[in-house]
Amino acid sequence: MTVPVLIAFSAACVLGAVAAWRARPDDGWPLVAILQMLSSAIVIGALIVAAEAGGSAARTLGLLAIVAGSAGLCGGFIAALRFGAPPEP
Amino acid sequence: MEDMTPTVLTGWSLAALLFAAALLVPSALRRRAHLALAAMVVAGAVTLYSHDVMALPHICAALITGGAIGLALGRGVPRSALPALLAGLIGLAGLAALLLGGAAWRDPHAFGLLDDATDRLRVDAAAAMAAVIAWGAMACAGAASILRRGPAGRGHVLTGGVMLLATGGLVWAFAATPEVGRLLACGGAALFAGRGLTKRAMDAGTGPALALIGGFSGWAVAASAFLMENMAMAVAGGLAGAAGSLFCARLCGGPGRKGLADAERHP
Repeated sequence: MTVPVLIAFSAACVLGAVAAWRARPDDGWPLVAILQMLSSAIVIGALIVAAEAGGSAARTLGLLAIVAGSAGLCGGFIAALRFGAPPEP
Repeated sequence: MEDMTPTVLTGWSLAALLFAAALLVPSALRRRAHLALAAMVVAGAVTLYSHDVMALPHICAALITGGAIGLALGRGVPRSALPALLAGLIGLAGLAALLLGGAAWRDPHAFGLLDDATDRLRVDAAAAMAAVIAWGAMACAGAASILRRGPAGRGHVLTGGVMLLATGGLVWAFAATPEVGRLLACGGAALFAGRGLTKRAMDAGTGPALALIGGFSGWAVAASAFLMENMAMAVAGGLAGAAGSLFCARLCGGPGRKGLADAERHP
């Protein structure tokens, strides 16, 4: 399983570098908003931890991680929509 | 670890394509945000499908609670404070990485991180765990530095560089001999490294600093992917880590820094 993950990670690094290289400085805020949403993928790992943890301490940490990651994802999505909306008069 | 059935593989591939499209497709930000959210929903659904979930009600409650907090934060802040909100949300992702690393340290047996022969942490798992803690701490410290907006001095930059080297050494030391003291020292050194490097990026503006801590958080997601052996997280983490780090390097070092760098005038 580690080799497919490593291949996917390497390909993603190349694509990410291409995206950063192609971006103009004026594209910065959209890029930062999308980066924030991508980094909220930590909630997937938190789901795995909360689902598979045997002990109560580990499960509690996993559930707290889900709360933090989910707040980041939803807040980042709303922030991205507001960034994309035309300025209020 | 999940089984790689055709359904799971299809789900991971779809999530990876949507993640890449969210970053690379040249379209409006709203459409890209919808693509990223769709990717996250697909990845979450495949994760729940492919694992033995023992606490589904608790997980649903945590997801709803976090979603409500995020909704209140996203709707509640004024438009001029959206950059600070983004910094806080990236810090939350770093905090989640710290909690995830702590949970893996507390219960390594549940995630298959122990060596069958010696019943100790495997070297690769220990390195990934220390990397999760280190990158998560750097994202948290960077977000706190952006929110506090203090002046950057030469000492901060020097401390950041030295502490980055120390963090790398401590990750290696923890991988060789997994002890809780080394893990805590790794997290502590990473806090100073994240603070110093973010202060250096803030010399060029809030935008490059946000891209940098987005990169830190992305690398934490990628390290978590190797810890949990999850392909969707590897793709999202690699995309965010590489894009954030390189974009920050371009804006801090290149001549075309105008636009993002003067963050106070945006949005």
